[in-house]
Amino acid sequence: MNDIARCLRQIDKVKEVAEGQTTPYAARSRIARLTLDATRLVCSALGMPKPDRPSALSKPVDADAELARVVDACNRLNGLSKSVAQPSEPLEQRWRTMWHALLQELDELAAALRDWQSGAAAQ
Amino acid sequence: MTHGWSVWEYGSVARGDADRLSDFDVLVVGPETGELGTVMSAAGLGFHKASISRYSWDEIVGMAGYGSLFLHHVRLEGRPLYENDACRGRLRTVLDELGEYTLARRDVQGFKTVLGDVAESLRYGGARAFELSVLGTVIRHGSILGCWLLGNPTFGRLAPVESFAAAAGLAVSMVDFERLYMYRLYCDGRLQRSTLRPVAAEFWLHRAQRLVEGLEDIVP
Repeated sequence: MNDIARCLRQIDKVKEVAEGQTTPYAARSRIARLTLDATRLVCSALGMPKPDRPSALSKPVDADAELARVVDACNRLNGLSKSVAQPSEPLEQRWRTMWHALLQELDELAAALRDWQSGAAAQ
Repeated sequence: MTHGWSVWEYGSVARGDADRLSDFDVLVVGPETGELGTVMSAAGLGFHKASISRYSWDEIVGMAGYGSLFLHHVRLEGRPLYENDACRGRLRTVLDELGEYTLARRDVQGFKTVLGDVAESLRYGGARAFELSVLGTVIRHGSILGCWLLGNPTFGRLAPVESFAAAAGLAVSMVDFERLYMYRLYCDGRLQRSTLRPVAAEFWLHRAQRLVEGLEDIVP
């Protein structure tokens, strides 16, 4: 599995939670793993050290548009996850109210990753 | 439904056993929208080191409906820091009327799912530090649930693991578990990388799986 395929799989796994196929307990670690993997992908592409814990990534000045789009989508997901998956208890009720926003961001990240992959393949 | 603000502390600071690695656990209940800074100031709190869980009153009522383990935690150890006139005493009433926790079986399924995720990630070269932090979290959460099911509610960082591992006959060295849990604190931004010691992920994955099997034996 290459790094982009791995990220796309993580997106599917977060969607499983958002769509109620998997218990909300898995949400926090799945979203964190997804954004971490995507951030590691970006860092690797830019020749930067890969982080080993989730954190927001500043948009690198020398990143191309596709890569910058991946970074933006990751950072927005990180922000959403703080509200969806709190430190105390995951909530189905909150998933129900926020899943539209979350799914939108997941689709945006998936599209950004695919566009970046296509751009890289074309070069 | 009331729209007031209620701010409670719980966790190690409320218990009186906080150490340098502890954060300050705060529950904020109030309107879904509304400026948190104002109410935190009214409670005499800053955001520094505070780990804030924020819920609406509707969410709290929903959680009370399934006997939320988190609310039991607050009931046993928490205390109000600030409540305005619109809701004074309201959260205490909800906590005093809490029923039995009803989602234990679902939690066990959640732990199994997360351990499956960790195993897959380790297999495909995921970030080990992060996966270790997830393992530490599942072992702690599983132990909290186990202690609860055995009628011995325990909510600290290490004490639930020590207590449930002993009850379930699992050999877990607390020194080693503390090393593992450091990865959780590192991933939360509470520790520097240089403070971590090497830990065997596969060993802890196996321990966590055993612990969850122990939970399956006692979950109603």
